[in-house]
Amino acid sequence: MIELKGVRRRWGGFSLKGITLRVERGEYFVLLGPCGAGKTLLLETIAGFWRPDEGEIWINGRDVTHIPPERRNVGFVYQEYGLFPHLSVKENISYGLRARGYSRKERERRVREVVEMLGIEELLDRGEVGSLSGGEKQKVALARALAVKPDVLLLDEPLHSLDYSSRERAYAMLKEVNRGLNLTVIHVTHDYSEARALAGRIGVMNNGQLVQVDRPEEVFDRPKTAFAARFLGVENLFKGKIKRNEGGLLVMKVGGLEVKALGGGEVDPGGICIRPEEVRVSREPLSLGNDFEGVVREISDRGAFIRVSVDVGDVRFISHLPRRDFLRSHLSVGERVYLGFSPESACVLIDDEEEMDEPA
Amino acid sequence: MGRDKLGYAFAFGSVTAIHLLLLSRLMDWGTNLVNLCADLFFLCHGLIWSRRSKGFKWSIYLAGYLILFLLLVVYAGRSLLFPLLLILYAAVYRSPKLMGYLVIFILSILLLTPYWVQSLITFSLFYSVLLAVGGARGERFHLVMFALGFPLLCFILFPLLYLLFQSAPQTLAATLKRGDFRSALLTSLLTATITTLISLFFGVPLAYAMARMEFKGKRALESLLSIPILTPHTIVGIALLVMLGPKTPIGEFFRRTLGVSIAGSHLGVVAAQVYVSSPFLFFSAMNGFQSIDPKLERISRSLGASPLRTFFKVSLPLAAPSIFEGCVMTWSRALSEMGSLMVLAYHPFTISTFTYDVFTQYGLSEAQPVAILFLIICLWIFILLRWIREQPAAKAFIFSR
Repeated sequence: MIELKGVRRRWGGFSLKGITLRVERGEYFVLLGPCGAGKTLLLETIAGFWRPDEGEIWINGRDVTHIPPERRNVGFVYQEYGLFPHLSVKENISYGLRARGYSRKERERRVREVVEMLGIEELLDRGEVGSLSGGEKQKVALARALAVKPDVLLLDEPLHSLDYSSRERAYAMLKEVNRGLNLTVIHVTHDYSEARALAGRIGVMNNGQLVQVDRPEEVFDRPKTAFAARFLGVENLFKGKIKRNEGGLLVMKVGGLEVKALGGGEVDPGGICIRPEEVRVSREPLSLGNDFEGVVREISDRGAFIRVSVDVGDVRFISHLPRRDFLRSHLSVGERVYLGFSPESACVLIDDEEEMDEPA
Repeated sequence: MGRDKLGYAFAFGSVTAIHLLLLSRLMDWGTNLVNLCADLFFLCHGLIWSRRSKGFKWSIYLAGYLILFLLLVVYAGRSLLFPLLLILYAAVYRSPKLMGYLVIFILSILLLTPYWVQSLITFSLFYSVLLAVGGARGERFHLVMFALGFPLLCFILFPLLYLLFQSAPQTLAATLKRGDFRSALLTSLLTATITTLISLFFGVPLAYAMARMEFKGKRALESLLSIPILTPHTIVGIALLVMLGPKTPIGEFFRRTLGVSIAGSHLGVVAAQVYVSSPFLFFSAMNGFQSIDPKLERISRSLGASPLRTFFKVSLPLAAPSIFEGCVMTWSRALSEMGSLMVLAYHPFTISTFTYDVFTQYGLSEAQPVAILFLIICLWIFILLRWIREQPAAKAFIFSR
């Protein structure tokens, strides 16, 4: 269990602005945010590499705010893995055990245990760590961190330099480590598909602040801020004004359009966001709750999906159409089409930032 | 087949006949015999190598003979060298690379007669580099840049190589037996080593601190530490003398309590050497520490290693190559120190002060063998250190786990 109580830390011109967070034992918590959001700084502060200027850090019910990193019992894996280049694979893995004064026999036993768990027995015979591939280095770094049986595991973009296929395998491995050892994990990344694949809960970070902490589904489907929405790949973000409440649905005025959205309370000024996957484009009329007519402006092939921009009056919607649907519909630029999305997929944002598009 | 044999017999026969009948009038019989052998060897090689090809190659081969003859016998009048070079020419004819070395050899002997050995070594080196670069399909531009810098290389190599060949081995052996020479050598090696150890002991912690800490005025402090490198060393000597000399509080303290004087003693030599040469170790070590990713040290801490353990297990081993390099530099610099020693501790003699002393008292001819011996010893130690550094066992030791 990790508890942060109003942690502040200045670092040059940047600062962590009072982070308060509670991560339960055995939880897989992902810190998600763009580069420069302060994720790594926060992680390093938890590990004890930096003292917070203010606030407290508790690990497993122990106040570790003023305890040096070597006595916090945290495992740490960096993006570049940080393997000791002058030591062999085996020496790297047993480094922490040596530092803690385990006997040779005990060291052997623990190293064997951890390499068996990660399935990297054959790497033990490899001498230099320089000859390992990215995926192998990552596993060795993980084994090194796990060998000392840490209370929490802190991962700083550990999958960053892996290719797509080894990433999938790494997801499975990390989940296995998390569940099998009931180990608390904080994992930092800027890749939201990675966060979605791994997280039990997600904390979205921006500019030294935690802007939203929620279950992945909540964060993805109902982002609370324009920043979170844009960062999570939502392309339709509009400023809007609430006009009225219509049988549980909020009716918002976006440019010249009225959009129905499933909303919480009254917020003003506010905005609205719709995930592009939820926006459907068709030649036939649709009845999804929010139905408009527009003109196709741009079509671009993104492989897994087709990105279509449609102008409805003065509002430009982006739609991600599944490849097959697109091929079936034969859309072309300049064509008049029907566009629709359900009120459930339209999400009201509680704040108003420059991130949102102002309908012209 | 039969025609070939007949041709060979004719060729050998006519060469022999020319030597016996015509040339015996021009030179004495011994020289003639040597030349005959060289010519036959030349002919033999030509026949072996040009068996399949006709005309053209033969004429090039023979043109070489003519050029050698014109250069050596007609132009330079070195008729004794001619048969030797002729044999060499025939032997390397098939290999353009070796032929290049031969051309360098001939040109060195003919054009740079008094310096032929050093020019042969230098130009051969240049030629080898050319071959290596050409063979590696290197960028032509790099080669041009190398050629531009070549005069500097010559200027550095020439005097040292020239010096090496100036004294007879007997003179060197006699010098080696001199007591004062030996004691100067011993003093130098001893003080330079002590200097290096002192610099190591104080310089490495300082370098680590400076590499890891950030504070106001750090840049200024670094500049201060490079003062000994930038200041003329006689000035350093004066400064040290003012500070540690016989009539100063510190000098007086040493004399009264320990009964030694700093000026004019081994202590003074070490003091001067530490002053001028420790910055080399400091800066080298600092660069070494700075190039280590601080994340490695953080990881080590998170794995349960204390700062001290982290320093000895991660930082120091990773900076070891730089520190070793710094030691070599410091040691060499200490060995070559002269300016400040002249002022602070002219006695006991070190290598440099002793050579200078011999030179001023007895002149160049006496100083030469001394200088040569010191040069050989220094080069040998330097090469040895380089070699040690490249050894896997040494690497394992430096990276001691």
